[in-house]
Amino acid sequence: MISARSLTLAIALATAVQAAAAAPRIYATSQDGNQIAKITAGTNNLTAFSSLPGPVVISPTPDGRRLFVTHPEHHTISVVDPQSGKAIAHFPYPGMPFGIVFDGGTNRLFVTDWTRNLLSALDANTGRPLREVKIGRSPAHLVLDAGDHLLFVCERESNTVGVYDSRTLTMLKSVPVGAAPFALVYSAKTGRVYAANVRSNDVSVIDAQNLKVLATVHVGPMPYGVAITPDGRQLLVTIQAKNALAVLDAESLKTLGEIRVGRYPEDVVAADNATAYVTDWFSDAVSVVDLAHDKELRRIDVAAGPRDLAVVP
Amino acid sequence: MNIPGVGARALDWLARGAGVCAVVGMSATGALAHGAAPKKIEEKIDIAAKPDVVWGIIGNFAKINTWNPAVVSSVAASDPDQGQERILTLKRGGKITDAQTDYDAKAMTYSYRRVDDDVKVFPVSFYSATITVTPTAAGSQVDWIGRFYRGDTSNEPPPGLDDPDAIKAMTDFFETGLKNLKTLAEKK
Repeated sequence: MISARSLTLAIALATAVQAAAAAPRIYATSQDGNQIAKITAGTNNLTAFSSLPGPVVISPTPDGRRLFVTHPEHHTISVVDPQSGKAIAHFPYPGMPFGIVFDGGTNRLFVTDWTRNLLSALDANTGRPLREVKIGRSPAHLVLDAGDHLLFVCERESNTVGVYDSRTLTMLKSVPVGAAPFALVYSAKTGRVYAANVRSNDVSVIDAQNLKVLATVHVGPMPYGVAITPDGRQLLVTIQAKNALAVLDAESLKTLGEIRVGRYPEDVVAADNATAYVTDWFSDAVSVVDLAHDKELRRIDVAAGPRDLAVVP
Repeated sequence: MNIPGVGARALDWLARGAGVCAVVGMSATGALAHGAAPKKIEEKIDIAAKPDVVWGIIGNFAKINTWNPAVVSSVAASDPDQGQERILTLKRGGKITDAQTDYDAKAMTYSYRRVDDDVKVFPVSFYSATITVTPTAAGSQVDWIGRFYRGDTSNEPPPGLDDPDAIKAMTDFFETGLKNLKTLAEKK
């Protein structure tokens, strides 16, 4: 017999477990410390697990059950089960894999090769190369607009964002942007792509429909990482040479605030509309930032050299 | 490198770098590849002089040649995109250009980054750095930190453009400067 009381308790427990499971998880790679940190939004509990050496860019599946991670120095892409913290597979990749994005619709991975100037499509189950094209120089981060089958790639040394058809990898357009674009973000809410140009200290805003630059907005020295809040309203940019996170209105592009974080901030993600996470590369930490009150809430120590972040909502 | 007060952290990285190579042996692709992991440098020195004396010596961004013997001459320049710049002629030969990215006289700190890319002259890619003077009980502490990549960021750098070459170039430049800064400031 189950008493009413224990039933209530069981329901309360189940609800708590569900709530915990529903909290966004943030993943951060530590390139020098060879770890991946997992932070649960809300509680900010940290679990770290060891990774194959030199993890840099991370792309989760939408359900959060797999993480795909590039290891540029080691010619490798690893597949990580974040539940167990184990690498369940690793795919050899001949060049210097850097940017990576998972396409759930076709179960493929798109990877940039920093030194061979390639964009590769791989089978996400086996790592088998499906297609490969030569693109602009020193390609870094890339994003996928899955609805329109568009890949946007930062081609750092060409000062362009290359736009490719994700089904064929055919180049649709080479969009000239500022100097040294490194990271970018696509917002379905605003229909724009925002690319941060490290050397020209600005963000190029691209219309994802007509592939034209709508605006170029100055943000500060060495913008390295970009993110958009889930409501599509706020654009977040790390300003590496000022140890700050800049917050802009994603529509009007007006500056809303600038928040001091740790030293040499690199990447940023938004867990919800009011909370951002920033990797502080030099400080070996992840900053938790309150966007509603423009302040850093706390700094979580992680293994050496934190670089890329990913969030599973 | 027995400079009192100068941190030996960059040397640790050299040592650690060798250790990492051994660990990396797991990879079937060979341990020679280092890859483009950014490197840290953090040097500190204690100086028996007041912070404004020390800042008085280093505070003019363009005039680094007046206190760092690694620099023979330094010329101020300005760029429409980058703003304030300095063109350094190095004692080891050749020129490099830095652009100022932040300057705060009140906090006694400035930041800069390299904007040219002649790695033959100085085997480091994309460095950026910050120098800061802070008061201490005995006078001042100067912190000089930076982030940089080796001269060739591919997985097969040619001799002279690998991680240890970049670490050595940065460490020599910082240590030479801080050592002489201490001498100059304590003489005043």
